Amino acid sequence: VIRKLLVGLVLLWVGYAALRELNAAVAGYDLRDRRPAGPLQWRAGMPPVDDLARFAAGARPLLPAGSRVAFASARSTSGNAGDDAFFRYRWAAYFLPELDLVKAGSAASGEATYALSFRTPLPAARFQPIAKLHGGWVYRVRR
Amino acid sequence: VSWLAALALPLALWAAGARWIGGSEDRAARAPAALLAGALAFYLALAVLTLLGIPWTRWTLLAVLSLLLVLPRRRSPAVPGGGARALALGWGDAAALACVAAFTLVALTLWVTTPDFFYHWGLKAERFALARAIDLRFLSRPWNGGPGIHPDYPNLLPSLYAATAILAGRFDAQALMLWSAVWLAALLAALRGALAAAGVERWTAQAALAATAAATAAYALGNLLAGGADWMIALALAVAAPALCGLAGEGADLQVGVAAAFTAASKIEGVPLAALLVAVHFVARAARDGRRTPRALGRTLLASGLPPAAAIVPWALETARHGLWQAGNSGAFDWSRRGEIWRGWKEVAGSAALHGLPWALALLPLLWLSRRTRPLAAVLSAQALFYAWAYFASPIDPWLYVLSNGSRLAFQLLPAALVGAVIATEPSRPTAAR
Repeated sequence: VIRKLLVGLVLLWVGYAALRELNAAVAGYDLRDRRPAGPLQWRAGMPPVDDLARFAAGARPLLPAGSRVAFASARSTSGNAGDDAFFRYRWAAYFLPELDLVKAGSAASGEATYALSFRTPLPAARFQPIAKLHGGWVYRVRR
Repeated sequence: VSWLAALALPLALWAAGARWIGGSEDRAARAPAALLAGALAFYLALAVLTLLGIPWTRWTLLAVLSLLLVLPRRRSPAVPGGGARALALGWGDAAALACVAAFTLVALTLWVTTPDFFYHWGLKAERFALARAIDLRFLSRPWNGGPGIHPDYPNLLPSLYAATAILAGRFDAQALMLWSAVWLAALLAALRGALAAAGVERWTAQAALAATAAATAAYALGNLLAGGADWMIALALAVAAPALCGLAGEGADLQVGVAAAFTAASKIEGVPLAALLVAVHFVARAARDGRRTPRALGRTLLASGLPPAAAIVPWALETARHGLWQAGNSGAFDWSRRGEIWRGWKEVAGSAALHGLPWALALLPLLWLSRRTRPLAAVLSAQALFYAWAYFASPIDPWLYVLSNGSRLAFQLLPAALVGAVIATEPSRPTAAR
Protein backbone atom coordinates (compact mmCIF):
# COMPACT_ATOMS: atom_id res chain seq x y z
CA VAL A 1 0.00 0.00 0.00
CA ILE A 2 2.84 2.37 0.87
CA ARG A 3 4.49 1.66 -2.48
CA LYS A 4 1.24 2.37 -4.32
CA LEU A 5 0.85 5.57 -2.36
CA LEU A 6 4.38 6.67 -3.26
CA VAL A 7 3.91 5.86 -6.93
CA GLY A 8 0.61 7.74 -6.83
CA LEU A 9 2.28 10.77 -5.25
CA VAL A 10 4.99 10.73 -7.90
CA LEU A 11 2.29 10.51 -10.53
CA LEU A 12 0.58 13.58 -9.07
CA TRP A 13 3.89 15.46 -9.00
CA VAL A 14 4.87 14.68 -12.59
CA GLY A 15 1.29 15.06 -13.84
CA TYR A 16 1.24 18.56 -12.43
CA ALA A 17 4.66 19.23 -13.99
CA ALA A 18 3.48 18.00 -17.40
CA LEU A 19 0.33 20.13 -17.34
CA ARG A 20 2.29 23.14 -16.15
CA GLU A 21 4.89 22.77 -18.90
CA LEU A 22 2.25 22.15 -21.55
CA ASN A 23 0.50 25.33 -20.48
CA ALA A 24 3.80 27.25 -20.45
CA ALA A 25 4.69 25.97 -23.91
CA VAL A 26 1.32 26.84 -25.45
CA ALA A 27 1.23 30.25 -23.78
CA GLY A 28 4.85 30.91 -24.77
CA TYR A 29 4.09 29.99 -28.37
CA ASP A 30 1.05 32.27 -28.44
CA LEU A 31 3.17 35.16 -27.12
CA ARG A 32 6.29 34.31 -29.13
CA ASP A 33 6.40 37.64 -30.94
CA ARG A 34 6.10 39.63 -27.71
CA ARG A 35 8.51 37.70 -25.55
CA PRO A 36 11.87 39.37 -24.93
CA ALA A 37 14.73 36.88 -24.82
CA GLY A 38 18.50 36.96 -24.93
CA PRO A 39 20.29 35.15 -27.76
CA LEU A 40 20.78 32.02 -25.67
CA GLN A 41 16.99 31.74 -25.38
CA TRP A 42 16.15 32.45 -29.02
CA ARG A 43 13.67 30.00 -30.48
CA ALA A 44 12.08 29.52 -33.89
CA GLY A 45 9.23 32.00 -34.27
CA MET A 46 10.77 34.78 -32.16
CA PRO A 47 11.24 38.14 -33.89
CA PRO A 48 15.09 38.09 -33.87
CA VAL A 49 15.04 34.67 -35.54
CA ASP A 50 12.21 35.46 -37.96
CA ASP A 51 13.91 38.68 -39.07
CA LEU A 52 17.08 36.76 -39.76
CA ALA A 53 15.16 34.05 -41.64
CA ARG A 54 13.56 36.70 -43.89
CA PHE A 55 16.93 38.30 -44.54
CA ALA A 56 18.47 34.91 -45.38
CA ALA A 57 15.60 34.06 -47.71
CA GLY A 58 16.14 37.34 -49.56
CA ALA A 59 19.90 36.78 -49.85
CA ARG A 60 19.73 33.16 -51.01
CA PRO A 61 18.99 33.79 -54.73
CA LEU A 62 21.86 36.31 -54.92
CA LEU A 63 24.59 33.96 -53.73
CA PRO A 64 25.96 30.97 -55.69
CA ALA A 65 25.56 27.68 -53.85
CA GLY A 66 28.81 26.44 -52.39
CA SER A 67 30.39 29.88 -52.15
CA ARG A 68 32.14 31.02 -49.00
CA VAL A 69 30.25 33.87 -47.41
CA ALA A 70 31.27 35.93 -44.38
CA PHE A 71 28.41 36.81 -42.05
CA ALA A 72 28.57 40.02 -40.02
CA SER A 73 26.29 41.59 -37.45
CA ALA A 74 26.85 44.01 -34.62
CA ARG A 75 27.38 42.56 -31.15
CA SER A 76 25.18 44.17 -28.54
CA THR A 77 24.97 41.50 -25.82
CA SER A 78 27.55 39.30 -24.13
CA GLY A 79 28.27 37.43 -20.89
CA ASN A 80 25.47 35.32 -19.46
CA ALA A 81 23.02 36.69 -22.04
CA GLY A 82 25.17 35.30 -24.85
CA ASP A 83 26.94 36.98 -27.76
CA ASP A 84 24.12 37.92 -30.13
CA ALA A 85 26.45 38.31 -33.14
CA PHE A 86 27.67 34.74 -32.65
CA PHE A 87 24.16 33.31 -32.32
CA ARG A 88 22.92 35.25 -35.37
CA TYR A 89 25.74 33.65 -37.30
CA ARG A 90 24.72 30.19 -36.07
CA TRP A 91 21.09 30.69 -37.02
CA ALA A 92 22.07 32.16 -40.38
CA ALA A 93 24.19 29.05 -41.11
CA TYR A 94 21.07 26.94 -40.55
CA PHE A 95 18.98 29.17 -42.80
CA LEU A 96 21.60 29.11 -45.59
CA PRO A 97 22.93 25.53 -45.64
CA GLU A 98 23.92 25.68 -49.31
CA LEU A 99 26.61 28.25 -48.48
CA ASP A 100 29.86 27.87 -46.58
CA LEU A 101 28.91 30.55 -44.08
CA VAL A 102 31.76 31.74 -41.88
CA LYS A 103 31.84 34.34 -39.15
CA ALA A 104 33.12 37.74 -40.27
CA GLY A 105 36.48 38.45 -38.70
CA SER A 106 37.39 34.76 -38.39
CA ALA A 107 40.44 33.33 -40.14
CA ALA A 108 38.19 31.55 -42.62
CA SER A 109 36.48 34.80 -43.63
CA GLY A 110 39.71 35.98 -45.30
CA GLU A 111 38.90 33.72 -48.26
CA ALA A 112 35.22 34.67 -48.48
CA THR A 113 34.04 35.90 -51.87
CA TYR A 114 30.77 37.33 -50.57
CA ALA A 115 29.61 38.92 -47.35
CA LEU A 116 26.23 39.22 -45.64
CA SER A 117 25.73 41.97 -43.16
CA PHE A 118 22.72 42.03 -40.88
CA ARG A 119 21.59 45.54 -39.90
CA THR A 120 25.05 47.01 -40.09
CA PRO A 121 26.71 48.25 -43.30
CA LEU A 122 30.25 47.18 -44.15
CA PRO A 123 32.96 49.58 -45.41
CA ALA A 124 32.68 50.26 -49.15
CA ALA A 125 36.44 50.15 -49.57
CA ARG A 126 36.48 46.36 -49.09
CA PHE A 127 32.91 45.35 -49.83
CA GLN A 128 30.97 46.11 -53.00
CA PRO A 129 27.21 46.16 -52.32
CA ILE A 130 25.17 43.81 -54.48
CA ALA A 131 21.79 44.36 -52.88
CA LYS A 132 20.12 46.03 -49.94
CA LEU A 133 17.53 43.74 -48.45
CA HIS A 134 15.03 44.05 -45.65
CA GLY A 135 17.34 43.61 -42.67
CA GLY A 136 20.76 44.01 -44.24
CA TRP A 137 23.10 43.99 -47.20
CA VAL A 138 24.68 41.50 -49.58
CA TYR A 139 28.23 42.29 -50.73
CA ARG A 140 30.90 41.00 -53.03
CA VAL A 141 34.30 41.10 -51.36
CA ARG A 142 36.72 43.34 -53.27
CA ARG A 143 40.09 41.75 -54.06
CA VAL B 1 4.74 14.71 -48.34
CA SER B 2 7.30 15.68 -45.66
CA TRP B 3 5.04 14.48 -42.89
CA LEU B 4 4.25 11.31 -44.78
CA ALA B 5 7.97 10.60 -45.20
CA ALA B 6 8.63 11.36 -41.52
CA LEU B 7 5.98 8.83 -40.54
CA ALA B 8 6.62 6.23 -43.22
CA LEU B 9 10.40 5.99 -42.71
CA PRO B 10 10.26 4.96 -39.01
CA LEU B 11 7.48 2.53 -39.88
CA ALA B 12 9.57 0.97 -42.64
CA LEU B 13 12.59 0.78 -40.33
CA TRP B 14 10.50 -0.87 -37.64
CA ALA B 15 9.15 -3.38 -40.16
CA ALA B 16 12.69 -4.15 -41.31
CA GLY B 17 14.01 -4.51 -37.76
CA ALA B 18 11.08 -6.69 -36.75
CA ARG B 19 12.43 -9.31 -39.12
CA TRP B 20 15.50 -9.75 -36.95
CA ILE B 21 14.18 -8.92 -33.48
CA GLY B 22 11.55 -11.59 -33.24
CA GLY B 23 10.26 -14.45 -31.22
CA SER B 24 8.10 -12.69 -28.64
CA GLU B 25 4.35 -13.09 -28.61
CA ASP B 26 3.97 -9.44 -27.66
CA ARG B 27 4.67 -7.40 -30.79
CA ALA B 28 4.23 -4.10 -28.97
CA ALA B 29 7.00 -4.93 -26.51
CA ARG B 30 9.51 -5.86 -29.17
CA ALA B 31 8.68 -2.94 -31.49
CA PRO B 32 11.17 -0.49 -29.91
CA ALA B 33 14.08 -2.92 -30.30
CA ALA B 34 12.95 -3.58 -33.87
CA LEU B 35 12.88 0.16 -34.62
CA LEU B 36 16.41 0.54 -33.27
CA ALA B 37 17.66 -2.41 -35.31
CA GLY B 38 16.04 -1.08 -38.48
CA ALA B 39 17.37 2.46 -37.94
CA LEU B 40 20.83 1.14 -37.31
CA ALA B 41 20.88 -1.10 -40.38
CA PHE B 42 19.63 1.80 -42.51
CA TYR B 43 22.30 4.12 -41.11
CA LEU B 44 25.06 1.60 -41.77
CA ALA B 45 23.77 1.21 -45.33
CA LEU B 46 23.86 5.02 -45.75
CA ALA B 47 27.45 5.06 -44.47
CA VAL B 48 28.37 2.36 -47.01
CA LEU B 49 26.74 4.39 -49.81
CA THR B 50 28.83 7.39 -48.72
CA LEU B 51 31.97 5.28 -48.70
CA LEU B 52 31.23 3.94 -52.19
CA GLY B 53 30.38 7.39 -53.52
CA ILE B 54 26.79 6.41 -54.36
CA PRO B 55 24.58 9.48 -53.79
CA TRP B 56 21.56 9.29 -51.51
CA THR B 57 18.71 9.85 -53.96
CA ARG B 58 15.08 8.99 -53.38
CA TRP B 59 15.59 5.87 -55.49
CA THR B 60 18.76 4.67 -53.76
CA LEU B 61 17.11 5.18 -50.38
CA LEU B 62 14.02 3.28 -51.48
CA ALA B 63 16.27 0.52 -52.82
CA VAL B 64 18.07 0.29 -49.46
CA LEU B 65 14.76 0.15 -47.59
CA SER B 66 13.44 -2.52 -49.97
CA LEU B 67 16.59 -4.54 -49.46
CA LEU B 68 16.26 -4.32 -45.68
CA LEU B 69 12.64 -5.40 -45.95
CA VAL B 70 13.40 -8.51 -47.99
CA LEU B 71 16.47 -9.71 -46.10
CA PRO B 72 15.91 -13.16 -44.62
CA ARG B 73 13.96 -13.18 -41.39
CA ARG B 74 15.97 -14.18 -38.33
CA ARG B 75 14.43 -16.77 -36.09
CA SER B 76 15.20 -15.65 -32.56
CA PRO B 77 14.09 -16.48 -29.06
CA ALA B 78 11.72 -14.46 -26.95
CA VAL B 79 12.29 -10.84 -26.00
CA PRO B 80 10.67 -8.96 -23.08
CA GLY B 81 6.98 -8.77 -22.71
CA GLY B 82 6.53 -12.09 -24.43
CA GLY B 83 4.43 -15.02 -23.44
CA ALA B 84 2.18 -14.76 -20.44
CA ARG B 85 3.91 -11.61 -19.22
CA ALA B 86 1.93 -9.11 -21.21
CA LEU B 87 0.24 -6.09 -19.68
CA ALA B 88 -3.37 -5.49 -20.61
CA LEU B 89 -4.21 -2.00 -21.89
CA GLY B 90 -5.27 0.36 -19.15
CA TRP B 91 -5.57 3.93 -17.95
CA GLY B 92 -1.79 4.34 -17.80
CA ASP B 93 -1.60 3.62 -21.52
CA ALA B 94 -4.24 6.27 -22.18
CA ALA B 95 -2.29 8.77 -20.09
CA ALA B 96 0.95 7.90 -21.88
CA LEU B 97 -0.75 8.29 -25.25
CA ALA B 98 -2.07 11.70 -24.17
CA CYS B 99 1.47 12.74 -23.17
CA VAL B 100 2.86 11.65 -26.54
CA ALA B 101 0.06 13.50 -28.37
CA ALA B 102 0.53 16.69 -26.34
CA PHE B 103 4.29 16.67 -26.81
CA THR B 104 3.93 15.99 -30.55
CA LEU B 105 1.46 18.84 -31.11
CA VAL B 106 3.73 21.34 -29.35
CA ALA B 107 6.89 19.93 -30.99
CA LEU B 108 5.40 20.44 -34.44
CA THR B 109 5.35 24.20 -33.83
CA LEU B 110 9.17 24.13 -33.32
CA TRP B 111 8.61 26.06 -30.08
CA VAL B 112 10.18 23.33 -27.92
CA THR B 113 12.89 22.45 -30.43
CA THR B 114 16.35 22.29 -28.92
CA PRO B 115 18.64 25.10 -30.12
CA ASP B 116 21.09 22.33 -30.99
CA PHE B 117 18.76 21.31 -33.81
CA PHE B 118 19.49 24.64 -35.49
CA TYR B 119 23.14 24.82 -34.45
CA HIS B 120 24.18 21.34 -35.48
CA TRP B 121 21.73 18.40 -35.82
CA GLY B 122 19.52 20.16 -38.35
CA LEU B 123 22.36 22.00 -40.07
CA LYS B 124 24.27 18.74 -40.56
CA ALA B 125 21.10 17.12 -41.90
CA GLU B 126 20.63 19.96 -44.40
CA ARG B 127 24.22 19.59 -45.55
CA PHE B 128 23.92 15.80 -45.81
CA ALA B 129 20.72 16.16 -47.81
CA LEU B 130 22.39 18.65 -50.17
CA ALA B 131 25.57 16.54 -50.47
CA ARG B 132 23.48 13.35 -50.70
CA ALA B 133 26.00 11.74 -48.38
CA ILE B 134 27.56 12.13 -44.93
CA ASP B 135 29.27 15.40 -45.81
CA LEU B 136 32.71 14.81 -44.32
CA ARG B 137 34.13 17.72 -46.31
CA PHE B 138 31.76 20.06 -44.51
CA LEU B 139 32.38 18.45 -41.12
CA SER B 140 36.13 18.84 -41.50
CA ARG B 141 36.00 22.55 -42.38
CA PRO B 142 38.15 24.42 -39.86
CA TRP B 143 35.37 26.85 -38.90
CA ASN B 144 33.18 23.94 -37.80
CA GLY B 145 35.57 22.90 -35.04
CA GLY B 146 35.52 23.97 -31.41
CA PRO B 147 32.10 24.31 -29.82
CA GLY B 148 30.56 24.74 -33.27
CA ILE B 149 28.77 21.81 -34.82
CA HIS B 150 30.46 18.92 -32.98
CA PRO B 151 31.94 17.43 -36.16
CA ASP B 152 33.14 14.38 -34.23
CA TYR B 153 29.64 13.29 -33.17
CA PRO B 154 28.21 10.10 -34.66
CA ASN B 155 25.82 10.82 -37.50
CA LEU B 156 22.78 8.59 -37.06
CA LEU B 157 20.30 11.38 -36.30
CA PRO B 158 21.34 13.83 -39.06
CA SER B 159 21.44 10.92 -41.51
CA LEU B 160 17.85 9.96 -40.60
CA TYR B 161 16.79 13.60 -40.96
CA ALA B 162 18.57 13.92 -44.30
CA ALA B 163 17.03 10.70 -45.59
CA THR B 164 13.58 11.92 -44.55
CA ALA B 165 14.19 15.20 -46.39
CA ILE B 166 15.41 13.42 -49.53
CA LEU B 167 12.44 11.05 -49.54
CA ALA B 168 10.09 14.00 -49.04
CA GLY B 169 11.81 16.16 -51.64
CA ARG B 170 12.33 19.04 -49.21
CA PHE B 171 13.81 19.83 -45.81
CA ASP B 172 10.90 20.45 -43.46
CA ALA B 173 12.00 21.02 -39.86
CA GLN B 174 8.47 20.67 -38.52
CA ALA B 175 8.03 17.25 -40.08
CA LEU B 176 11.38 16.16 -38.65
CA MET B 177 10.05 16.80 -35.14
CA LEU B 178 7.92 13.69 -35.67
CA TRP B 179 11.12 11.71 -35.13
CA SER B 180 11.18 12.97 -31.53
CA ALA B 181 7.57 11.85 -31.11
CA VAL B 182 8.58 8.44 -32.47
CA TRP B 183 11.48 8.21 -29.99
CA LEU B 184 9.15 9.17 -27.12
CA ALA B 185 6.52 6.61 -28.11
CA ALA B 186 9.16 3.91 -28.54
CA LEU B 187 10.71 4.80 -25.18
CA LEU B 188 7.41 4.40 -23.40
CA ALA B 189 6.63 1.17 -25.26
CA ALA B 190 10.01 -0.24 -24.23
CA LEU B 191 9.52 0.69 -20.58
CA ARG B 192 5.99 -0.70 -20.69
CA GLY B 193 7.50 -3.96 -21.93
CA ALA B 194 9.99 -3.91 -19.05
CA LEU B 195 7.25 -3.38 -16.48
CA ALA B 196 5.25 -6.22 -18.00
CA ALA B 197 8.21 -8.57 -18.20
CA ALA B 198 9.08 -7.84 -14.57
CA GLY B 199 5.59 -8.86 -13.57
CA VAL B 200 4.84 -5.55 -11.89
CA GLU B 201 1.34 -5.56 -10.43
CA ARG B 202 -1.19 -4.03 -12.83
CA TRP B 203 -2.18 -0.81 -11.04
CA THR B 204 1.43 0.03 -10.18
CA ALA B 205 2.58 -0.76 -13.73
CA GLN B 206 -0.07 1.53 -15.21
CA ALA B 207 0.74 4.28 -12.72
CA ALA B 208 4.48 3.91 -13.37
CA LEU B 209 3.92 4.10 -17.12
CA ALA B 210 1.75 7.19 -16.77
CA ALA B 211 4.25 8.81 -14.39
CA THR B 212 7.20 8.09 -16.67
CA ALA B 213 5.29 9.46 -19.66
CA ALA B 214 4.32 12.62 -17.78
CA ALA B 215 7.84 13.11 -16.40
CA THR B 216 9.41 12.62 -19.83
CA ALA B 217 6.94 14.91 -21.57
CA ALA B 218 7.27 17.60 -18.89
CA TYR B 219 11.06 17.41 -19.10
CA ALA B 220 11.04 17.56 -22.89
CA LEU B 221 8.66 20.52 -23.00
CA GLY B 222 10.40 22.45 -20.23
CA ASN B 223 13.93 21.74 -21.39
CA LEU B 224 13.33 22.02 -25.16
CA LEU B 225 14.32 18.54 -26.23
CA ALA B 226 12.47 18.15 -29.54
CA GLY B 227 14.75 17.54 -32.49
CA GLY B 228 17.74 16.48 -30.36
CA ALA B 229 19.48 13.16 -29.83
CA ASP B 230 19.16 12.81 -26.05
CA TRP B 231 15.98 10.84 -26.64
CA MET B 232 17.98 8.20 -28.39
CA ILE B 233 20.25 7.52 -25.44
CA ALA B 234 17.23 7.31 -23.13
CA LEU B 235 15.51 5.00 -25.61
CA ALA B 236 18.52 2.70 -25.91
CA LEU B 237 18.66 2.38 -22.12
CA ALA B 238 14.95 1.58 -22.03
CA VAL B 239 15.37 -1.10 -24.69
CA ALA B 240 18.34 -2.63 -22.88
CA ALA B 241 16.71 -2.46 -19.41
CA PRO B 242 14.76 -5.77 -19.57
CA ALA B 243 17.82 -7.64 -20.81
CA LEU B 244 19.99 -6.12 -18.09
CA CYS B 245 17.40 -7.11 -15.49
CA GLY B 246 17.40 -10.69 -16.74
CA LEU B 247 13.86 -10.46 -18.08
CA ALA B 248 14.51 -10.94 -21.78
CA GLY B 249 15.34 -14.62 -22.20
CA GLU B 250 17.65 -15.72 -24.97
CA GLY B 251 16.87 -12.62 -27.06
CA ALA B 252 18.70 -10.52 -24.48
CA ASP B 253 22.10 -10.58 -26.15
CA LEU B 254 20.92 -9.15 -29.44
CA GLN B 255 18.67 -6.69 -27.63
CA VAL B 256 21.64 -5.30 -25.70
CA GLY B 257 23.75 -5.33 -28.85
CA VAL B 258 21.20 -3.33 -30.80
CA ALA B 259 20.70 -0.87 -27.93
CA ALA B 260 24.46 -0.44 -27.54
CA ALA B 261 24.96 0.12 -31.25
CA PHE B 262 22.09 2.60 -31.40
CA THR B 263 23.40 4.64 -28.50
CA ALA B 264 26.93 4.61 -29.93
CA ALA B 265 25.64 5.89 -33.27
CA SER B 266 23.54 8.63 -31.65
CA LYS B 267 25.86 10.77 -29.54
CA ILE B 268 29.48 10.76 -28.49
CA GLU B 269 28.61 9.94 -24.88
CA GLY B 270 26.76 6.93 -26.27
CA VAL B 271 30.08 5.29 -27.14
CA PRO B 272 31.19 4.66 -23.53
CA LEU B 273 27.60 3.77 -22.70
CA ALA B 274 27.69 1.11 -25.42
CA ALA B 275 30.83 -0.41 -23.88
CA LEU B 276 29.19 -0.32 -20.45
CA LEU B 277 26.03 -2.03 -21.71
CA VAL B 278 27.96 -4.86 -23.32
CA ALA B 279 30.34 -5.35 -20.38
CA VAL B 280 27.68 -5.25 -17.65
CA HIS B 281 25.35 -7.50 -19.64
CA PHE B 282 28.13 -10.03 -20.13
CA VAL B 283 29.06 -10.10 -16.45
CA ALA B 284 25.42 -10.23 -15.34
CA ARG B 285 24.66 -13.00 -17.78
CA ALA B 286 27.63 -15.04 -16.62
CA ALA B 287 26.77 -14.46 -12.96
CA ARG B 288 23.07 -15.19 -13.45
CA ASP B 289 23.62 -18.52 -15.12
CA GLY B 290 26.78 -20.12 -13.81
CA ARG B 291 26.20 -23.20 -15.97
CA ARG B 292 26.70 -21.33 -19.25
CA THR B 293 29.57 -22.81 -21.20
CA PRO B 294 32.43 -20.64 -22.45
CA ARG B 295 31.03 -21.21 -25.94
CA ALA B 296 27.64 -19.82 -24.88
CA LEU B 297 29.31 -16.86 -23.23
CA GLY B 298 31.27 -16.29 -26.43
CA ARG B 299 27.98 -16.21 -28.33
CA THR B 300 26.68 -13.66 -25.82
CA LEU B 301 29.72 -11.49 -26.38
CA LEU B 302 29.42 -11.76 -30.15
CA ALA B 303 25.70 -11.01 -30.29
CA SER B 304 25.95 -8.06 -27.94
CA GLY B 305 29.35 -6.79 -29.03
CA LEU B 306 29.26 -7.03 -32.82
CA PRO B 307 26.46 -4.50 -33.47
CA PRO B 308 28.15 -1.69 -31.47
CA ALA B 309 31.49 -2.56 -33.08
CA ALA B 310 29.83 -2.18 -36.49
CA ALA B 311 28.56 1.25 -35.46
CA ILE B 312 31.69 2.49 -33.70
CA VAL B 313 34.59 1.28 -35.87
CA PRO B 314 33.62 3.03 -39.16
CA TRP B 315 32.74 6.23 -37.29
CA ALA B 316 36.03 6.20 -35.35
CA LEU B 317 38.04 5.58 -38.52
CA GLU B 318 36.33 8.40 -40.44
CA THR B 319 36.68 10.73 -37.45
CA ALA B 320 40.39 10.03 -37.28
CA ARG B 321 40.91 10.13 -41.06
CA HIS B 322 39.30 13.54 -41.41
CA GLY B 323 40.76 14.98 -38.21
CA LEU B 324 37.33 15.60 -36.69
CA TRP B 325 38.19 14.75 -33.09
CA GLN B 326 37.80 17.82 -30.86
CA ALA B 327 40.40 18.68 -28.24
CA GLY B 328 37.72 20.01 -25.89
CA ASN B 329 36.34 16.54 -25.26
CA SER B 330 38.84 15.70 -22.55
CA GLY B 331 41.53 17.17 -20.34
CA ALA B 332 43.21 16.58 -17.00
CA PHE B 333 41.07 15.56 -14.02
CA ASP B 334 40.81 18.48 -11.63
CA TRP B 335 39.13 17.85 -8.25
CA SER B 336 39.12 21.56 -7.43
CA ARG B 337 36.32 22.02 -9.97
CA ARG B 338 33.82 20.25 -7.66
CA GLY B 339 32.41 23.46 -6.16
CA GLU B 340 31.58 24.96 -9.54
CA ILE B 341 30.16 21.64 -10.79
CA TRP B 342 27.92 21.33 -7.73
CA ARG B 343 26.79 24.97 -8.12
CA GLY B 344 25.93 24.29 -11.77
CA TRP B 345 24.08 21.07 -10.93
CA LYS B 346 22.01 22.77 -8.23
CA GLU B 347 21.00 25.45 -10.73
CA VAL B 348 20.09 22.84 -13.33
CA ALA B 349 18.15 20.56 -10.97
CA GLY B 350 16.46 23.51 -9.30
CA SER B 351 15.32 25.05 -12.58
CA ALA B 352 11.61 25.92 -12.41
CA ALA B 353 10.97 24.37 -15.83
CA LEU B 354 12.24 20.97 -14.65
CA HIS B 355 10.16 20.78 -11.44
CA GLY B 356 12.94 18.98 -9.57
CA LEU B 357 12.85 16.03 -11.97
CA PRO B 358 16.66 15.69 -12.25
CA TRP B 359 16.69 14.90 -8.51
CA ALA B 360 14.82 11.69 -9.36
CA LEU B 361 18.24 10.28 -10.23
CA ALA B 362 18.66 10.03 -6.46
CA LEU B 363 16.54 6.87 -6.86
CA LEU B 364 19.55 5.08 -8.34
CA PRO B 365 20.71 3.55 -5.00
CA LEU B 366 17.29 1.89 -4.80
CA LEU B 367 18.13 -0.05 -7.96
CA TRP B 368 21.24 -1.45 -6.29
CA LEU B 369 19.13 -3.03 -3.53
CA SER B 370 17.42 -5.51 -5.82
CA ARG B 371 19.47 -8.30 -7.35
CA ARG B 372 17.31 -8.07 -10.47
CA THR B 373 17.92 -4.38 -11.21
CA ARG B 374 21.56 -4.30 -10.06
CA PRO B 375 23.01 -4.55 -13.61
CA LEU B 376 20.77 -1.68 -14.72
CA ALA B 377 21.90 0.27 -11.65
CA ALA B 378 25.52 -0.44 -12.58
CA VAL B 379 25.06 0.91 -16.11
CA LEU B 380 23.13 4.03 -15.02
CA SER B 381 25.51 4.79 -12.13
CA ALA B 382 28.63 4.26 -14.22
CA GLN B 383 27.26 6.49 -16.98
CA ALA B 384 26.39 9.17 -14.41
CA LEU B 385 29.94 8.89 -13.03
CA PHE B 386 31.29 9.20 -16.56
CA TYR B 387 29.35 12.46 -17.00
CA ALA B 388 30.72 13.69 -13.67
CA TRP B 389 34.23 12.75 -14.77
CA ALA B 390 33.73 14.71 -18.02
CA TYR B 391 32.90 17.81 -15.97
CA PHE B 392 35.98 17.32 -13.82
CA ALA B 393 38.25 16.69 -16.80
CA SER B 394 36.98 19.11 -19.44
CA PRO B 395 38.91 22.28 -20.21
CA ILE B 396 35.56 24.14 -20.46
CA ASP B 397 34.38 26.30 -17.55
CA PRO B 398 32.73 23.68 -15.27
CA TRP B 399 29.78 25.79 -14.12
CA LEU B 400 28.95 26.80 -17.69
CA TYR B 401 29.50 23.25 -18.92
CA VAL B 402 27.01 21.81 -16.41
CA LEU B 403 24.50 24.55 -17.21
CA SER B 404 24.83 23.91 -20.93
CA ASN B 405 24.17 20.17 -20.90
CA GLY B 406 23.59 18.87 -17.36
CA SER B 407 19.82 18.76 -17.71
CA ARG B 408 19.99 16.88 -21.01
CA LEU B 409 22.44 14.32 -19.66
CA ALA B 410 20.22 13.76 -16.62
CA PHE B 411 17.27 13.29 -18.96
CA GLN B 412 19.03 10.44 -20.74
CA LEU B 413 19.12 8.41 -17.51
CA LEU B 414 15.80 9.46 -16.00
CA PRO B 415 13.16 7.20 -17.66
CA ALA B 416 15.13 3.99 -17.09
CA ALA B 417 15.87 5.05 -13.50
CA LEU B 418 12.18 5.69 -12.77
CA VAL B 419 11.01 2.37 -14.16
CA GLY B 420 14.01 0.59 -12.66
CA ALA B 421 13.00 1.86 -9.21
CA VAL B 422 9.51 0.41 -9.66
CA ILE B 423 10.89 -2.95 -10.79
CA ALA B 424 13.42 -2.97 -7.93
CA THR B 425 10.67 -2.56 -5.33
CA GLU B 426 8.32 -5.13 -6.88
CA PRO B 427 7.80 -7.97 -4.38
CA SER B 428 8.59 -11.43 -5.76
CA ARG B 429 5.50 -13.41 -6.68
CA PRO B 430 4.71 -16.31 -8.99
CA THR B 431 4.00 -15.39 -12.61
CA ALA B 432 0.31 -15.03 -13.34
CA ALA B 433 -1.80 -13.60 -16.09
CA ARG B 434 -2.82 -10.09 -15.16
